[in-house]
Amino acid sequence: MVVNGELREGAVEPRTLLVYFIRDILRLTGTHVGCDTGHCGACTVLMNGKAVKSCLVLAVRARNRSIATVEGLAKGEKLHPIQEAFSKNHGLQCGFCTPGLLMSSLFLLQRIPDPTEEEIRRAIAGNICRCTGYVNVVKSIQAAAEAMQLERQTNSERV
Amino acid sequence: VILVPDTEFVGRLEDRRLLTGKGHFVDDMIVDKMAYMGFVRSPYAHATVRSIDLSKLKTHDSCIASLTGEDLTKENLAPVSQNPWPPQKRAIRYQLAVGKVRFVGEPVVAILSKDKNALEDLIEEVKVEYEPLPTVTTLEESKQGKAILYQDWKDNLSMSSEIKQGDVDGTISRATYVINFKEGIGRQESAPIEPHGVLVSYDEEKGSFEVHAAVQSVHGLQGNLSSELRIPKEKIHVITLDVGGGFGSKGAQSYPEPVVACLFARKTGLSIKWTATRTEDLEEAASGRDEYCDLTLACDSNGKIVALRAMVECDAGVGGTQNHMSGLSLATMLGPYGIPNRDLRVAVYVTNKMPLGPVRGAGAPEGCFFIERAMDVMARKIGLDPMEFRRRNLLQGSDKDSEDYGALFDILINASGYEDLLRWKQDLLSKFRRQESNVIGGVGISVRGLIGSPFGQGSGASGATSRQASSWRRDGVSAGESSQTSGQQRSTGAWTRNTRDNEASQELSFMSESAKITVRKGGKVIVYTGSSPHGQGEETTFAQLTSEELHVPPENVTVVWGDTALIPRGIGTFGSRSGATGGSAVVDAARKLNAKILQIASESLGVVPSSIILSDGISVCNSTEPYKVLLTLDELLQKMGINEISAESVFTLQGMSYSSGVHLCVLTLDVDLCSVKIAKYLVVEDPGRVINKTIVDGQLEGGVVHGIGGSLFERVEYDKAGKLLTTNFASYAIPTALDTPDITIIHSDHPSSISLDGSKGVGESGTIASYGAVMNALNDALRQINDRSQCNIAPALPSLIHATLTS
Repeated sequence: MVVNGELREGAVEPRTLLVYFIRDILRLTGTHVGCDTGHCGACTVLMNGKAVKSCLVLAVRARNRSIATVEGLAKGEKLHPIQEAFSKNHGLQCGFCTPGLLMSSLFLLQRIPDPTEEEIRRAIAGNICRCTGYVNVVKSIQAAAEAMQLERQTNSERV
Repeated sequence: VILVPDTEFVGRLEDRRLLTGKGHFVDDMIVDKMAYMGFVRSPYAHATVRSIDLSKLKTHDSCIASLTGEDLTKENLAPVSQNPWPPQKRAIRYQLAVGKVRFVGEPVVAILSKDKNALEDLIEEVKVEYEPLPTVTTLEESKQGKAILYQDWKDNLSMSSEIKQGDVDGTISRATYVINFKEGIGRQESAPIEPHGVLVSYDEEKGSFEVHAAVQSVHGLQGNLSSELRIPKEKIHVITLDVGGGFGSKGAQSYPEPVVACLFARKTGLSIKWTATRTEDLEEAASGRDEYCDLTLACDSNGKIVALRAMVECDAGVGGTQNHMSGLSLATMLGPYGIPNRDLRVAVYVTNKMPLGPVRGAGAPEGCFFIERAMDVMARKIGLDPMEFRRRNLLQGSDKDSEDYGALFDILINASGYEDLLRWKQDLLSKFRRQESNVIGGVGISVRGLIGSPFGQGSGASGATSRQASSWRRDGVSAGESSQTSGQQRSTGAWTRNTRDNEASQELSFMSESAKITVRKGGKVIVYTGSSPHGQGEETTFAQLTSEELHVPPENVTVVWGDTALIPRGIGTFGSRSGATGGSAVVDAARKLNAKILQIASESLGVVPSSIILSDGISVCNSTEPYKVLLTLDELLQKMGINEISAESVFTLQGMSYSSGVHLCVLTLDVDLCSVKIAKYLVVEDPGRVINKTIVDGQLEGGVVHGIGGSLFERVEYDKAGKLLTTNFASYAIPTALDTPDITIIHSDHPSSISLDGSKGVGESGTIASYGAVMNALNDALRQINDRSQCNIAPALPSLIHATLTS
């Protein structure tokens, strides 16, 4: 499979879950396991551009597909605007659910660049955060949406 | 009243690694020669273990070893540690069940597997034969003694305690207004999103363990392992990396798994990894609340409270760990109100459920809810606005640090548009009555009051107790001190750990914390703290405090925590104490370091210490303007022939330093669906001196939502046979972004005179007052439909709301 733009291979037992393939075999440990039943969303990654809970996907199902994890968001030292916004708006505390929230946010902002608060809350309803109470998570995603729009604007003006 | 302006928040020092997937949680570790540990757990709430058949395990190559309770009895282990505070009867529980199981999820057999996937197969291969015993799953059954859980007990009462003052019965009989009702908060989970986990290695030559664990206190785990394994704590090196939340459940109480992992490590020479599944966490990690109160409140004809009687009962689950938070409920129950006559009692009973422990607020949310709900019920009875009724009963001038609650109410009224809210409610009701809508509104307030001493005599650091006792913030309320307590153990030891042979616990109390600050060549500053952050942002706030004291940029400061080798003494992070105690220790160490550097520099320069100051990145300067650099830090170190200078502190707060506040909840109730939507939530808070406003507000917001969960959604459910029904996050409903409101926090900050950094504990404050605010708002809505019925048991699930509306 292609993970964060790189071709990655590995042999697994058929029952191996995608999240454990990502964590234990590829050693990308930013994707977390919080509940192993698909409820908490800490394991959220993008598969072929769509947000999935990687504890509900068998690794073999991801064969020949592209996977995006939290490790692929930043470009070198430069944080992705969503990561930047989460930091500046204190959208994370312990940081355990955060990778999943970042990937759900990315999936949202790729579909809806200018979401309403209701759309944001709906988009992250599958990600449980026990620390923040979501107030600053929502603010972070709003700020990320603005930053990404501005970035697009600047890019298109350059073109 | 000082309103704190929004200062620019630039993010925390810990953020980058957590945002880029480079956080370092214990389950992320894979080391050489590692094996996976798993458990066969009891499916019965109460049963005799007849036989255990492990024969099928041998047919699997993946199985390395197994352990049963019987095996443990040959290991010279002490039972699971039980904290001496609060005083409760001793209940012996072993790390793996011996003879009997007493709750669903209790570990019975431990298995070690070469392979992670195979572990689940192995667990299924073990056959345990049980003979079910009568189960005790409710308070009633426990009180009746349907079964006695521990053979050497005569009943199921684990602890009782009372606080008494004045002629309560006589005053109530003569009072103009008297209310009596029952209320309670169901069992709620801490439920950090990262499950519990450990990774243990053993060094045979040194006879020592290295333990990586997801905990709130490395020194706590070290103490527990030391006493249970009966080896000196120096032989146990505990390290915690990033921790994915705790909320109490990863705090002081002892769990069996780390000890069993140590045994496996010693037997096999392998590194042993255990990561709890979510179900294991929900079955076994300490849950909280489960307290119920029969309350009588009496007022005179002027609406002044004259007496309070409260009989609290707590369903504690099994005994044998640190599980009785009810003393704190009593200590919280007087709120900020003048209540001249009071009779507060608590009785704690054991049942066949998972052990109770501290969950965000640890007893205080219950006490706060009990009095705050009663304040509303009484206000309605008298016919007063709930805010006005509270104003009439505020304690005057009780404490110089505490906020003037009247002023907090004023801020709340202005900020919330209180009068408009009453009109909004009326409009909704009119529409409802005209059948244009099925929604009505409710407004509720709740006060996070002062707190009495829950710890009582003997709980402080040695020598500090008497001074502490005199400076507790509440007038003579001390559940341990002025109470009659039953139970075999008296409150004699330190709150922190249970072991007498643990030196750290003798030196440090709940109100203490350690810090050491080292400056190195090039101006690099390292802060070692005994606190153990797991989301609270202490890497940033402690760097800020150090930066202020030593005049260095926060980026030059590295905060180190969670390693018993680097930090020999410490308490950890729980109980809203790290900002005030840990922060004070950091400030104290920084000031000592400052003085030490100036002392060394003055000797080196041949000047008096008062003629020089530290400025400009730990450079020694003239103390008169314009400051002239006399000696840079590097020059000083070189001159002295040393590489670094350090100073240490163990700081003990001489009293309590907790925030106070007022909450307001506005909600709508869909009368057809019996569902609640919180429209608005407002907190006016006095968190003392604010080190970092964004971080403080984040703590409050998260705390409020934990309480909203416990008020409306979250309830640990057992069936009649004691089987746990809430075994995953579908059946146990933690609030999501769709269930939660925007929360407005308004500051009214008065620095604490008790903590050196001026801060007050804020981590649990949001949770403590929120049950009252939500439940008062809900009942404000309900009474518009049916004024004879109230909903006084949290969480107010739709079924309960329906029952209230139709009763």
